[in-house]
Amino acid sequence: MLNIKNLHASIEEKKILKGINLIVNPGELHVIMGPNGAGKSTLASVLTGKDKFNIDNGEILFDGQIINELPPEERACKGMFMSFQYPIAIPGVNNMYFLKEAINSQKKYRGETQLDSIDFLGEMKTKLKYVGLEESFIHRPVNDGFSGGEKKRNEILQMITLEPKLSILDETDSGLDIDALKIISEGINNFRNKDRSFILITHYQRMLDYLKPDFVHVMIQGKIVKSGDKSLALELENKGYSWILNEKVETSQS
Amino acid sequence: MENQVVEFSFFDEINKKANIICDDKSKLNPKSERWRFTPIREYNALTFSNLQNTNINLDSIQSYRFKNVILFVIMNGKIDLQLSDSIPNGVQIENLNKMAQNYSGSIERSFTKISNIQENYFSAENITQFNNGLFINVESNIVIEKPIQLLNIQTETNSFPRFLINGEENSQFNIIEQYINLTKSESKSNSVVEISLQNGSNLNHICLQNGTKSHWNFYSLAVNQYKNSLFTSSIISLSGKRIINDINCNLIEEGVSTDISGLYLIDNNSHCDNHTKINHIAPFTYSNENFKGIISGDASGVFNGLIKVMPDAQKINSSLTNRNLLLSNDSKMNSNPQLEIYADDVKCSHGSTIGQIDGEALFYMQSRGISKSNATKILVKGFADEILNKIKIKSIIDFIEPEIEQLMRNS
Repeated sequence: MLNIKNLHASIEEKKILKGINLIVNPGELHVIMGPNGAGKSTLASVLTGKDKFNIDNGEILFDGQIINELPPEERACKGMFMSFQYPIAIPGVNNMYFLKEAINSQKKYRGETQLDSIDFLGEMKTKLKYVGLEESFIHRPVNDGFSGGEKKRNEILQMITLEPKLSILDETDSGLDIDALKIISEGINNFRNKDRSFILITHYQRMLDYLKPDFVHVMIQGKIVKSGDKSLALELENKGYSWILNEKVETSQS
Repeated sequence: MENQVVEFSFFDEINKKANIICDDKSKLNPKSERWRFTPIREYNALTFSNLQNTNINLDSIQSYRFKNVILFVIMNGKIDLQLSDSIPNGVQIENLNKMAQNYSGSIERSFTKISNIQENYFSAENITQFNNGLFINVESNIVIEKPIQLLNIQTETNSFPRFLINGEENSQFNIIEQYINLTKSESKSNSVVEISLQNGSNLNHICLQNGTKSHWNFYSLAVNQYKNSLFTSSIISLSGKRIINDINCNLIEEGVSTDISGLYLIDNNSHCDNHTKINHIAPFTYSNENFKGIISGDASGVFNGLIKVMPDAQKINSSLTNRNLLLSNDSKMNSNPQLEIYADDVKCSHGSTIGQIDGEALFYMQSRGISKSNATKILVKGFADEILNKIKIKSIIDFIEPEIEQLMRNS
């Protein structure tokens, strides 16, 4: 589904991604962990097409097609989604209107029949329950005046409404209380199936108690330096990141 | 009897006074603070000869009628009762001089005093040129559900409409003032609206300004509000070469509430100037003012808003906001919200912003599959909606929305 080959990216001449290689197959959940400033959020932004980053080298293949030059909206229409670490408030734009516009833009792109307001509202009512939100929530302006937890729930609500093939969740667990974490994790779990893939960026392994990951990768200084299974996340939680760096130094010396 | 016009020496006196005021051009000094950012020098160099400019097909007038309104057509500042609907019970609409005898008290109290000719040059200029104003009176306890649409059509190069509107005690009514300019050459209008709202009266007012690309639009709105009266107003400036709005609200007695919003859409090399003043004279008065501008091309705008709180006006609550969205690199805005407070127990806030489309918000919407151009449209519309949402009449919203889209196409 996603194949990242030797990806190098920079912002204003500053190199941030320095050769990322990653393959995500349908149905897999990959976790990316790493210290602050390692380039995790940059990777998410580059994958979704934020234009302030430059791709200096390498390729991003999505469903076999190189998408390096594709604008963000086309990537979304092809089935890519990012849950933002800091969701953007859009005062004056109603949440329901925004979501309906998004879903119908995607349907139009794919040549599918667009939803009318009644069908859409009906669908929203069911989806709202998955993330534990009241109906009044979708009539508020997008993320405007939302609490941290509401913003993250809204991201997941958008995900389960837009039904992407690949969801990139950038620190969806940060700023959530224990109950909200559980609700959001259940929302994601219900959404998982053999066709849908996930990249979860996180600092903590607690969300991984709910979401069983297939792979855990460690990213340091713009590169994936170690990959493993869920036990790697537990090890990182106990020992931090320094031992991986030391391990790297040792292997390069021997 | 019908054509008998009661001339009052009162009008002659005011005319004399206005002429003296207009002889002194110091109020139009381009170097004065008032005109610092507005090209009044250009105006001073212009002469507008009185010409019939366009012939109008009278049937086409009906196309400007909004749904479910009581329509009054004012051609070049003069009411045309034949093109207008019938006057509802409890309401008087007539030329000022014809009404002067029966309503001498309220006319003498208000005429040229609410929009003070000593302070407002254009209110005085209007008097020296106008050929009769319109007096609208809504009797006490009368509720008029249907909005009264005052459709001003300009076909001559010069137009000087003047309205004196009086809401008697506990009256409730809605007014849509609309200005349509059909001239083809450089033209000018100088409109003055004076409103007096007596105890407990409630007026919902909308002003729609639609000029041409070579039209100078001077508009003065002045309101005197008495005990527990409520005034809600939306001033929508859609086009014009130069739009100069002067808005003045006096909250004279306790319990008065004033809510004014504005939306100005300016493009090409147009200029829009909004000078507003909310004058809290009595205690326990409330005001809320919110003006928003969308500016594109190499257009420019000025917002100068003042909240003045007089020494006796304790326990008042007032808020003033001006937000601007620049759609191009060449557009300009000068915003200056001001507070002048002489009482010590008040709640006042003011603020202004000038910004461009938020790139982060654009990316956020694109990342959900919405195209960049559609996302921009939604953001601009969302910006304007805060003002449009206050207008509860759908046919008016339908009239304004295409203008917003046009503005984006031109940016």
